[in-house]
Amino acid sequence: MRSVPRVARWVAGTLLPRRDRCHILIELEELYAHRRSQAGGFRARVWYWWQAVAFPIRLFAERLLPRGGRGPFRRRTPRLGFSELLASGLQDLRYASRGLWRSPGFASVAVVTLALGIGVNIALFSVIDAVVLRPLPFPESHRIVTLSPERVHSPAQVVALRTAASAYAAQAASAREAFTLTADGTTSEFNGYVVGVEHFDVFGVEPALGRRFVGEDESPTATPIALLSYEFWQRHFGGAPDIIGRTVPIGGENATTRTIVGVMPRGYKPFRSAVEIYVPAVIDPANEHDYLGHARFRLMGRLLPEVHVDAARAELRRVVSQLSVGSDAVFRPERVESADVQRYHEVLVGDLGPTLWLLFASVGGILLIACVNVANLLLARAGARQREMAIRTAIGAGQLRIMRQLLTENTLLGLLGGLVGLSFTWGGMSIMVAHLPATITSVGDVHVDSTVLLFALGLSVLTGAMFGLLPAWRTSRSLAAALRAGGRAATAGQKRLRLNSILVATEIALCVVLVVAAGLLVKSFWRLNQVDPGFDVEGLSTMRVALSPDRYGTDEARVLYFNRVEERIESVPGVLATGAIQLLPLTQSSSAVSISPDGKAMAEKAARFYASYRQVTPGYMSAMRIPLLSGRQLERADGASDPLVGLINEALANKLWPDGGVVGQQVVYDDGSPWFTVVGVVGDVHQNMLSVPGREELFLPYAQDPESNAMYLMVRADPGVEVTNAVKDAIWSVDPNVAISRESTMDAVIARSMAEARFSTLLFSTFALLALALGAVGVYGVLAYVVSQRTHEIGVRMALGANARDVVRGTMRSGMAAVTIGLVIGLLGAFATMRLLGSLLFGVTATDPTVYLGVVAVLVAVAALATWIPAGRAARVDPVVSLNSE
Amino acid sequence: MGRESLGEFEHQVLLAILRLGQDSYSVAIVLQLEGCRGRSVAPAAVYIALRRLEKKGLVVSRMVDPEESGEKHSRRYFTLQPEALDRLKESRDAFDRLWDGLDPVFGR
Repeated sequence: MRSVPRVARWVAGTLLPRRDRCHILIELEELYAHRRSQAGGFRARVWYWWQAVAFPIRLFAERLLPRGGRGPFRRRTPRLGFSELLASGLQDLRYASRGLWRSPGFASVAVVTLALGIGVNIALFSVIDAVVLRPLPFPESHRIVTLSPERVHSPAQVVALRTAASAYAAQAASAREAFTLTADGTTSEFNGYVVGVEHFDVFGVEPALGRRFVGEDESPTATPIALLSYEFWQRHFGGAPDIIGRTVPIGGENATTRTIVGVMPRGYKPFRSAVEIYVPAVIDPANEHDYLGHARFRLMGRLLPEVHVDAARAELRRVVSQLSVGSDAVFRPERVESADVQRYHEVLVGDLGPTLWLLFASVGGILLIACVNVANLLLARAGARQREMAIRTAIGAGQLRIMRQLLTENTLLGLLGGLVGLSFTWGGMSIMVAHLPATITSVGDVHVDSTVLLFALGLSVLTGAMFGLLPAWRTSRSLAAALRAGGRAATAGQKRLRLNSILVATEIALCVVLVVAAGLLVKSFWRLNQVDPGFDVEGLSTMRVALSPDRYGTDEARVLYFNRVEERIESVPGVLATGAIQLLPLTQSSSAVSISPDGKAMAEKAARFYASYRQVTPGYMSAMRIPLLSGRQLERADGASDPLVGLINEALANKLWPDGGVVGQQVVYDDGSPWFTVVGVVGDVHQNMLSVPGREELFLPYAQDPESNAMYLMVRADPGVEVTNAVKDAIWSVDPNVAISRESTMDAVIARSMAEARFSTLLFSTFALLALALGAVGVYGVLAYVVSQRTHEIGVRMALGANARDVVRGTMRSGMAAVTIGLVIGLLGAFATMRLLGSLLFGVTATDPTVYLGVVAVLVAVAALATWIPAGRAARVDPVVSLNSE
Repeated sequence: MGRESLGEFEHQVLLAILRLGQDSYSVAIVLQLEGCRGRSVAPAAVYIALRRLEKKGLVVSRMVDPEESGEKHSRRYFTLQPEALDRLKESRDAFDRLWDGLDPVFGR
């Protein structure tokens, strides 16, 4: 059964009285399922949305206007039925639009304020809808899970879990790989994935053309095959229908050519990054080093229909713990702790979920500030309309009737604000999407759809009620007093002043929370920018060079090629140094190998100790300016026939030989067999991201382990000298057919690694500025109104001898008193809520005193300005004029 | 009028409960009414009518746990009180008397 529209369910759940909520929601769900089977999904959804709003309203109306029953023989009471309510509502609506039309100044200020508040909410909701709320585009996508998402698995672990875990209908390993395609002599590189044969069951997908992978394709002796993405097939093979069965020079994963067996459906995108080529994961238990020691697979599964994620998680813990004992153990015992099963959607959303909800809360704050501003405008306007209301009461309108009319006006304002806000969002959507980090756009397609439109409608109506309820209630209640006052404009009474203070304090408190959040994030982002990545970024750029495996099939050919390319690049004017590495730092890609920490064969193979490893050319360390702490650098002389050598980083050196004497030591495989001699220790580099310190790592000379046919060339040039094109020419002068891709400065690589932090900082700061501006305008508005109401009193005081300074001081004092209360409440609120930012902060605590002090200073300054302007106006009151005006 | 009169909709809800017998919980009542009236019925209207009828003492309800009913969730089942049956019968008799002899008007 497809479940009910989530947003509508949330709306109903929020509006329904707690006592009946559960029951009514279940009933509506049941009726929804019935309607869905009778009238189709769309009509059922529309029906559900209507019920989500209408049900609570009818319950509320029933409570407000209980009917004594109305039989056919009973005279109708003036109590209204639903249709009569509707008719008089329309009448109210006509009257309200005439009223707004007559005061365009008030209407436009209110609508623009609301549009800002509602607009940012709609924009953010559209992102949340795309990323968090909308299910992934796979059948029954809630059943797709990731096993231990933080971990990569070796082939042995993949096989062991496949047989031991029973919670899954299907399980499939996957690893990202680059593949080359050689066409017309030119090699290009493409993103691909090595996937387990059950990938298609996990995602519930079948190839659009040809066949899927089957069990035999896993065998090391099977013919190499590949599936293409629809887009790749169109682009590179012109959508040729005879592609199936063709052998194509797709290189990578131990093959130089592959037979195409199928094409995936159009738009199919199972992973975060785009995939052009799929090849089956070959599992070869005979190749023991790879089978046991090479962890590179992410593991995904489709849960059996009746299995819950929690049950699957418990089972995985149990299975991993069983697989971590005995001589044939495949897991280390500590892996039991990290064994976890998470829904794939949650894994894709990752940290973004909490960030987005926090941002949503902050735009909620902005909307509240906007509401407070408009509420204040309405209160000021109510004073002016008291006479009108008095007359309406005198000719028979009840309090409820007047309140309803005022609420209609406010709802109309809210809807207009929502409409303008929606058009802001619509207009700015393409700009917003362009600035979203790839982590968001890769999860879901952000656009305005029916869910967003309904949210906009609901929010506009709610907003109307939110800002309008208090003024409407006050206005309709104080009518008797107004009548007694003979229709004369009411003065600002004690109660009214208290209400103004509450409004000011509320605005300031909301502002404080938002500005503190922005302040903490800005400081954290600044701290992140200050982090030393472990290498010198200035003048450093990178590009990836991939060789076609058939032309560079031997180790010697690849080593020779990169030696020659480096020589050519070093002769380019402006280039200071160059080197190559197989995995670029700060791109979240890594490869790990198990070594023995004490140099002896590990009795329990499960107790493996992993270090990240990368192959580099001798020039790499000096091109990156990674400091050599002891020993020597790798050299050209460390060739394939020489004894194996390598560099290790400081973190690994401290772990393996904490007492020093590192150079000359042997790094040993986990079975005790010697691997290589350490010739030098280098500084730590942030491999994954700036916020995570460098982990244990070892570097091997490419000449002694030239496994990869693609390397990232690092080029250090004189700062400000553009060498990219000259470097590319130098590379092509060795071989015009190699693929060059991912050209970038290291500055840009680092910037990309911080995209998410930049996104949240930028948005929070923008929202904080918006809140500050709205808050300042609001405080100003409230005080300006108070001053205008007190003109008479100020005039009297000045006539009695008060000077201008006393008046300014008095007015500012009353304004700033409310501001201070707001500051205190806001700071307390910030203290309580900033913990939520936790995971977003780096190098700054949620209670950082400098940020809090800075925010207080900024807010006091802004509030002082906002109170000083009306206070100054008060001081210029001419006693004669103000007394004459009475 | 000594007692509160029965609304047309309440009247229909009572009949629906009667027709459903054992299975009369609110979703079934909504569907029964929709089936007989040939148009959609607001669940909120049924919900409110049931509450009102309960207050008037014409129906009683009891919660049935999932274990007992074999359903996924607990449900509230409604049963007519003897007074409701009397009222329905009275009303039916009144209508019958009024209808008596009018068939020719409708060409039956």
